[in-house]
Amino acid sequence: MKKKKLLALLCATALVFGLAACGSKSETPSDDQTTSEKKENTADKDTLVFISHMTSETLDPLTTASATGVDKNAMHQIYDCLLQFDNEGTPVACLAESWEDTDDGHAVLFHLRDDVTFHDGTPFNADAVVYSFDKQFANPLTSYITTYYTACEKVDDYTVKITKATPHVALLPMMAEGPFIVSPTAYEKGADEFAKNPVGTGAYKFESQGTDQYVHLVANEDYFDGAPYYKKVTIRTPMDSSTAIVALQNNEADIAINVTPNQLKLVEEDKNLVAEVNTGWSIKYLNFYAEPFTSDENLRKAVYYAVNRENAAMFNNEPETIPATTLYPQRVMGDYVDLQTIDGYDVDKAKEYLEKSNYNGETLNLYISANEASIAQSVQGDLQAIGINVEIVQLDTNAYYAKFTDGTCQMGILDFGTDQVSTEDMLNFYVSSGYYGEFVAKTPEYDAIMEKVNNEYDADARRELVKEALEMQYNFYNMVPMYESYFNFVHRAELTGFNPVSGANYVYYLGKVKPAE
Amino acid sequence: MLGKKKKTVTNVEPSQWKEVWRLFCKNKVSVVALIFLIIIIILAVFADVIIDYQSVITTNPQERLLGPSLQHWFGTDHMGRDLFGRVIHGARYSLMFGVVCTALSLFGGCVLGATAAYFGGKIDTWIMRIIDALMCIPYMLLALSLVAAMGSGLKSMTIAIVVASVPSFTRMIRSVVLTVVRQDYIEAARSCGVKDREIIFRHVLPNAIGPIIVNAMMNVAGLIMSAAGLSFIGMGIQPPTPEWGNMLSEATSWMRQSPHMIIFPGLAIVLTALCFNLLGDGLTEALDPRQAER
Repeated sequence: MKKKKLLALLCATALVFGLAACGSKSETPSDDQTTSEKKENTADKDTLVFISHMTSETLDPLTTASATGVDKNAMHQIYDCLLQFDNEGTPVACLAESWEDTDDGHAVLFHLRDDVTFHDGTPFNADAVVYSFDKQFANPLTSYITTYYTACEKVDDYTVKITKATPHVALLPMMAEGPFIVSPTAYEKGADEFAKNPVGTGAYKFESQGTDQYVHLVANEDYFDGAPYYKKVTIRTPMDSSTAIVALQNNEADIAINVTPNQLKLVEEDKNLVAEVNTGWSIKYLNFYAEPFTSDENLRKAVYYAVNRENAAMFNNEPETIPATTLYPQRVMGDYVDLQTIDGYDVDKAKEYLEKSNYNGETLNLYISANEASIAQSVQGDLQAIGINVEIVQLDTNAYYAKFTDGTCQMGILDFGTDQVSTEDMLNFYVSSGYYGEFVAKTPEYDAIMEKVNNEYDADARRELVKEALEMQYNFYNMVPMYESYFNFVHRAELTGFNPVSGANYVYYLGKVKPAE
Repeated sequence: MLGKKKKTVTNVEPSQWKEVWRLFCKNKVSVVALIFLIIIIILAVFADVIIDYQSVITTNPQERLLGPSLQHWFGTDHMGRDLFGRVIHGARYSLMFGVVCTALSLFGGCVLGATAAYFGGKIDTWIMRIIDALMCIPYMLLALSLVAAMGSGLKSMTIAIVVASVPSFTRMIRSVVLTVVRQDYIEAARSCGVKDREIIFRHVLPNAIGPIIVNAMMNVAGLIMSAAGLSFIGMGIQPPTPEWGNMLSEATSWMRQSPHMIIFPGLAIVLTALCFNLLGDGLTEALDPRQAER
């Protein structure tokens, strides 16, 4: 019995060291394949397999909100929007072939294509667009969109007018993301029935969704933009990044999104895979949410200058370590990007402001979700280097976001920004009545200038007001923009046709994917 | 028996403990496990002397993901911290957690289990039905729910694990105590008017201590792994504090490129848990009265 235990212990130890030895560089499964053999692997297949970032709980886009189980990756294959993104992330024609502002600048006229049909054979027209928009306005979960656009009216059979809620709304990028245009004929049969058999105009038609939650689609051969190369698409449920990479290497999948940065190194070493890495519409921020930060400007400045942005990016394994130079993401700021350049890491300034602050040595909390652990430790080290004690508290995602508004979270790290907000929208978050207004520094002057911004339809005049507002917001030091957030997706090297930017918002056009020439 | 010094293995007379030690030493595997455990405890106690705590939590961008070398015996992690230092500092939390939680669970189990077994009747019924209800909830789920309610951290993790562990300790101690309370000397003590509390703590528990110690020893291993499990999913010790489960969690993303990050903390957990289990096995044999007669 004792000998058996000793033997078991020795075997376990041998196994562990054996694993260590296997940890050295190993060849990937198909390194020695020729290019033509690799093409055969993917070109022979008629099904494109896409590993998604969430499980698709419903395929009805009109009675749910984006936060409740709607997988955009599936939606963008079945449905189209009025616009779509090009490879630079710029909205271009889709179901709408052209558009222009109305004379007063308060609305946009979209001229629709007249050669599109839904998967059920019914025609696409202005009635279908108005129907889809009205459903969104009526749904309590999506009616918040009225803060961006207030109405969608039919002008004629192939023209609709969408009225902006504010002069600065990012209407065009919004129209590239939603609402998804559904077949009114199919939807009138009942929302429950529609959810089981969704009908859009997209490059793929819905075939089935199994008990494993995989979504199976078939090509729409009559697609107005050309029939897709791959006759079928399977959208798989999410899996761990390292497992997803193995699936790609074994040809069990073709595309995986949101791969953790530390897995990208493995992708670099594998000639059969390509990682598409790009900045999106968000910046990684360190935000302040409660006292002592709200009332201590010098403490906020001390933290602002103490954070080493390059180290934060490096420890989080971002592909580049370029500190943020603007208050908001560059893609969001668009034409405003040259209005302002912000300062970065400066330990001397940090110490100088800490001396002037009222910081009493207390331990401050820094709340994070699991994904931010490495950045948080980097920030913690930076702050401790100048004498600020920080405790990291890790929470699950829902609890993490709830903490922002209950007054107990002093600092938090998150990605902030999306293609659906403009610079003005970002600035509005920090007015007294804004989302963060309650617990950030602000002044009546800031509220007043933002009131003017929200009502100024003249672009040039508004630009000057935005410049002033940006300067004021920057001088509040309400947040620490660290670096532009990167997103990525990995695909088999034999494939081409990907949009390298829109994936930041989970917008992939699989109908354009095909084997490389 | 009351008033007489019964020559049993569990009576705490110096010569009997020598006998237990003699029997224990006959089990070479258990002795090796004990030596390993002593080494781990010494490393944990003198961790600050071996390697400064600040150096194992301070990030170092220039030394990230280095493999084992003379300068860094276990290599470095993704934040550039020495892994050897983090493993031995992590031993403090893991061992402390395992021992403290076991002691607290044991105390709770002793109070409830001994009371239920000694008094029987309605008291036994009420206590055991509540314990049964708690045991319907999977152990880890109960611990997770409590940590989620109280927030993560060492204190709430300890409370959660203790509350989740007390039911099984209670059941075990109750069954052990049941065999003791039926002895004649306990009945004699009652008839002499000795107070119940005195009987429980002076006569019942000391005579049941053998199996209790063995079970407790084996539970230390289980609780160390439970702590590692909670930290692994981010509900336990918070970064940058070195704790084996936390280290494993951070290392999973680097498994393919830097396997040393997962091997050494994993080995530490496995070896420590194994040592406690082997120690428990050795104690089982050493405290067995039939062994004493050989």
